Order: sequence, then C-alpha cells, then structure tokens
Amino acid sequence: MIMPKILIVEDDLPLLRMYQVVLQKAGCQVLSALDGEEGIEKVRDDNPDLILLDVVLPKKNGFQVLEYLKSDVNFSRIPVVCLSVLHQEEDIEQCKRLGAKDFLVKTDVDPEDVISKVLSYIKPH
Amino acid sequence: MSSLRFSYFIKIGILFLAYFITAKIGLSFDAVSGFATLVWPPSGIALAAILLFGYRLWPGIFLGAFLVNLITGAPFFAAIGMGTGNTLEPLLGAYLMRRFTGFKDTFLDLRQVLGFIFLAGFLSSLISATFGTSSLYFNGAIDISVYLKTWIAWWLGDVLGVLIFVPLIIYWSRWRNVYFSIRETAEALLMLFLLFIFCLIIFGEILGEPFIDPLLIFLLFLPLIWSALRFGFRMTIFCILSLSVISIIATMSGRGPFVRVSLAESLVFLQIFMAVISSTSLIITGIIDNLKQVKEELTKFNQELEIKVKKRANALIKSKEEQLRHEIQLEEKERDFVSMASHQLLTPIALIRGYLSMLLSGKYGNVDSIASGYLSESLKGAQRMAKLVKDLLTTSSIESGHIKIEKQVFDLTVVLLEVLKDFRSKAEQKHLKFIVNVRKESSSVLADIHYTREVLANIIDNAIKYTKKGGISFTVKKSANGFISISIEDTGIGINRNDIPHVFDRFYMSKNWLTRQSDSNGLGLYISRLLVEKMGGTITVESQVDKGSEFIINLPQV
Repeated sequence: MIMPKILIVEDDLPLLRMYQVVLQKAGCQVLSALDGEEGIEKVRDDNPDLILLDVVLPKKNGFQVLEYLKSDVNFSRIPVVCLSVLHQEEDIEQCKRLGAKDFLVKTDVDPEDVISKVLSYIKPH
Repeated sequence: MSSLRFSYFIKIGILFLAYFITAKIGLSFDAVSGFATLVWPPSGIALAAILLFGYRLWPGIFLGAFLVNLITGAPFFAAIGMGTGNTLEPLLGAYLMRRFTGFKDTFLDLRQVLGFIFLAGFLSSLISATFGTSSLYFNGAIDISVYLKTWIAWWLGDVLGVLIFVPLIIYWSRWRNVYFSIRETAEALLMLFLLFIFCLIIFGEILGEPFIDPLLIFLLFLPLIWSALRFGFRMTIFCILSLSVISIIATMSGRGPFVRVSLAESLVFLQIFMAVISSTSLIITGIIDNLKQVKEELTKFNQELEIKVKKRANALIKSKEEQLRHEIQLEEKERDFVSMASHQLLTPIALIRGYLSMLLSGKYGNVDSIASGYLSESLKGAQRMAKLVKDLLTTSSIESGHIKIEKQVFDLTVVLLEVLKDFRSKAEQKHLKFIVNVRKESSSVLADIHYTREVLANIIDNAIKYTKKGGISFTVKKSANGFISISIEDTGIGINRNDIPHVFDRFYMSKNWLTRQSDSNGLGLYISRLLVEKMGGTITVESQVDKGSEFIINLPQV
C-alpha cells in the first residue's frame, strides 16, 4: 500500500510533533503547517490524502481553511478531520456544515485513537 | 470726520427748522402775553432730539427758540434769556432721565416712564417757564400783574409738549416694529371708534342739550385706559395726540366743556385736563408694559430652565449608558479571558495526556509495570485537570448568561439510549447492569438536546463511579404538571443525609465523598442543575447511604 500523505495544521508545535510521531509510526507520510495560510499552501503544493485541521489557528482559522477547500473542486474531496481543545457544539456543527468528516477533542481522545479514526477515513483511497 | 460733522450740522438744521415752525404755530394759539402759549410741541421735539441724538444738538434748540421769540417781538436780551431757558429745559430733562432712570433710547420699565413724566415733564419745564417769564419781565416786556398767568401758561404748554411729543417721536420713529394681528387690529379700531364717538359727543356736542356737560369728559378715560391696557405706548400716545388735536381745535372754535372767555383761558383748563389724562394713560401703559416684560422674562426663564433640565437629564442618561457599555465591555473581556485561559490550559494538558497514553500503549518504548502504574495515575490526573478546566469554562459561561439554549423537540428515551451506548464499556468493566424501563407513552420533550445529553452523561458517569456492584436503572415517564421525568437510580454508596441539600451547590464536596472519590471537582452537579433550570426543568436527588441514590430530572413535555 502506498504511504498515505497526511497534512497536520496545528499551531502548537509540541502537539504537532506528537501527532507527527504517532502518524509516522502508523506508516504515514506527514506534512505540517503552523497556520491556516500555510495549511492552504501545503494543500495546493502537495495535495494530501487527508487533513488533520486544528480549529483555532493564526492567520486563517480552521473554518476559513474549510471554506477554501470546499470552494475548490481540486480539494473539496480531501477528507478533513477537525481538532479542537474544547467540545463546543457550535464549532462542531460549523465544521460538519463546512464538510469536515469528524470533529475530535484533543483532551478527550488519545493520539492513538485520533490516528485510527484518521486512517478509517482514507481506507477507500 | 467731515461727513460726521456734516450730518451733525444737518441734524442741527432739521432740529432748528422743526423747532422754529412748530413754535411759530404754537404761538398762534392766543399766546399769553404774546409768548407763553399752551400749545407748545417744540419742548417735546427738543427733548426727543436730545434723547435720541445726544446733548450736542443744543445749538439747534437755542437758535430756534431765540429766533422765534425775536421775530415775535421780544427784546434782544429777553429772546436770549428765553432761548437759554428753552435750551436748558430739554438738556436737564434728558440728563435727569439718564441719571436717575437709566434711560437710553426707549422706555424699558415703569420707573423710566414715571421719571420721564415727573422729571422731564413737570420738573424740567419749570426752568423754561421761569427763565422765559423772568426774561420778559426784566426786559420790561410784561407787567408783574400777568407774571403768574404767563408762567403757568408757559409751564403747562411745555409739560404737554413733552408728555405728548417725546413718546410720540420715540415710539413712532420705530414704526417698522409694529405688528398687529387681525384680532388686535379689529379691537384697536373699535377702541379708536369709541374715542372718536366720545370726542364727537363731548367736543362736537352732536347729541345736543342734555349731553353737554363738563363732567362727560371722564368718558374719555375709557378708551384711553383700554388702549393703555391692550395696545401699549404707541397706540396710547397716538390717542392722546388725537385727543389733544381734536380738543384744541374744538375749544378754538368755541365748542366743548373747556370754552371760557378767552382762548388762552380755555386752553389752561384744557391742558390741565390733558396733562392729567395723558400722565394717567402713560403710567398705566408703563405698568402693563412692566407686567408683560415680567411675564416674558418668566417664560424665557422657564424655557431656559427646561433646556437646562433636559441637558442634565440627557447627560445623566448618557453616563448611565456609558456605564452600561463599560460593564458589557468588562464582561466581554472577562469572558474572552476565561475562554483564552481555558484554551491555553487545555493545550498542554492534551500534550501531557497524549504522551502518557502513548507511553502506556508500550509501542514507543518499554515501560515496566511500576512505571506503568505511575504513568496511568498521571494520566488520570491530566484527565481530571482537563475536566476541571472545561467545567470552569462551562460554569463561567452559564453564570454570565452567555450560554445559548436552543430548544427543540426530541425523544428523551432515544437520547438516553444514545448516551448509554457511550457508557456501556465503562459499566461492563465494573460488571454493572443497565436496566431501562420505558413506558409506551410518548417521551417527547422541548429542551436543548446537547445540554440534555451533557446532563445525562454527567449523572450516569457519577452513578457508575459511585456504584461498586449491582446496576443502574433508568425510568422515563410522564410526571405531573406537564413534565417528562427521567429517573437514574443506582445501587451505590449513597449520599450522606447532611449533604443531600447541598449536592447541587457550586464546589460542594462532602468530606465523605472526598475520601471515597478524589476525582470530583464539585462542579458537575452544579452545572447539571444550572443547565436543567435553564431549560425550564428541575433536578432532584433522593438517597440512602450504602443503598443508593436516585436522581430525577424533569424536562418540559411537548
């Protein structure tokens, strides 16, 4: 199987590294971005198989990134899993409305579970 | 400078001409001793000119008076003496009015009217009468036997001239300011008509014998007082002048109550009457004018007061609004701060939790059993901390009223079953059984579905936590007063009787509970109660130690 290409957009560097470690361990190729704009650039340049997207981000937040992806036919099919530190119904609903596959709360879900969720969305690939 | 001097000479010239001509006319009214006439407009014209244009115009008066008398046949020095007296009279009159009543160029109050009548009218005229009569006497123009008669005629003529012509000139020189409404005009015409009729009766003697009587002159007070009360100085002065002209012409032609043997004698009585009636009318006009001014000032004062009060009130409202805005800003800042702090706190907790769970999984290096035990304790700590921060954030947003309750209709049983799914594995670990009792009746409620889930999860989590063996039973049913109730009953440790009234309080932790369950933060039940109440429901608990607890939540039925 080809290594799935996964983009993590997360502004907290230690958290980013942690997810990177787990994803690499699971056999993924990991791309990373520290803010929304960089995230969009990476999507354009590298066309990832899945995006792990933090909601609260500098420059462009997660909702704006989702909007961008939705508006571009080249990227609207990339599955996105949103990450947030808080379980807020409004945010969850907005992410789903903007096309996110799932919404995970970082403090509630262990990284291993995050990864297994993520991999479940790229199986058909 | 030259133009100023030019206009000065023009003014003097005009004054001289006016004085000379009116004096010549006045002297034609059967002047006593040839010089003291009872009809003497020049005294009024002179004073009005001084009041309006200043003392500097005196040469015009002197020249007019001197020449008129000289031409009439007065000896040279007598003419100089009479001219001096006639000049001093308006100068003194104007000075006294300015000095004692603060007169500028129009009558402002009653004091100025009274000052004008007595200081400029009756008092100053004494000078001219005395100067003139004495000059005539000392130059041999009159005999001592007619001195008093001459003096009286002179004085009365001057008083009348001042009383009639000064207000006339001062008020009617500002004709443009006059404005009468239609009603006022009609009323004024009626008044003037009445005056005219009375003049016809008294001086024209048109009604014949029974109505020819000197006492009828009192009728004249009626229209004059009417004018004084209703139309002010201008109209009253106009009436006095008209009356004066009519009465003089009538008396000259031998009609009316003042006719005596000679015209001069007739005019003495007529002018005494005219002095009384014009003074009276002017004083009444002054009083009315004063009242009007007071009223106007009061109205103005009231308006100003009203404006001030309004301004104050507005300022007060503004400051209140500002205060409110400030409070809202503070609240928002606080909310932002709480939200920010929560995010900042939760991110490292997620990191700690993540790595601990990775270590415990054993995939990232070997961990022996002791270390593993410690790590799992750390993991629990991190989880507790995350829960605490989240609960604090929720509490803060509920308490500050920033939580949004979105009510919708849903089936409480369905939601309960969904929540139970999440807890199944947790219960199985402790070998606890879930028993769900559902009646056939509808269990639809109107509430916020997310918060209902949160509350149920909270209560169920507690029930599992505090129950060692047995199970938890759930009953959904209709309760009284339009509620659907859900009962969550466990077979756990129960709650101490003393603690029951407080379990829904903020940060309430029983000492008993604390020893048994260290991961409670005292917020869960408090948040549950706030949420249920926000949704219009209630939450209660019944419990017996070592037997179990039953939480009952009531939510509004559809």
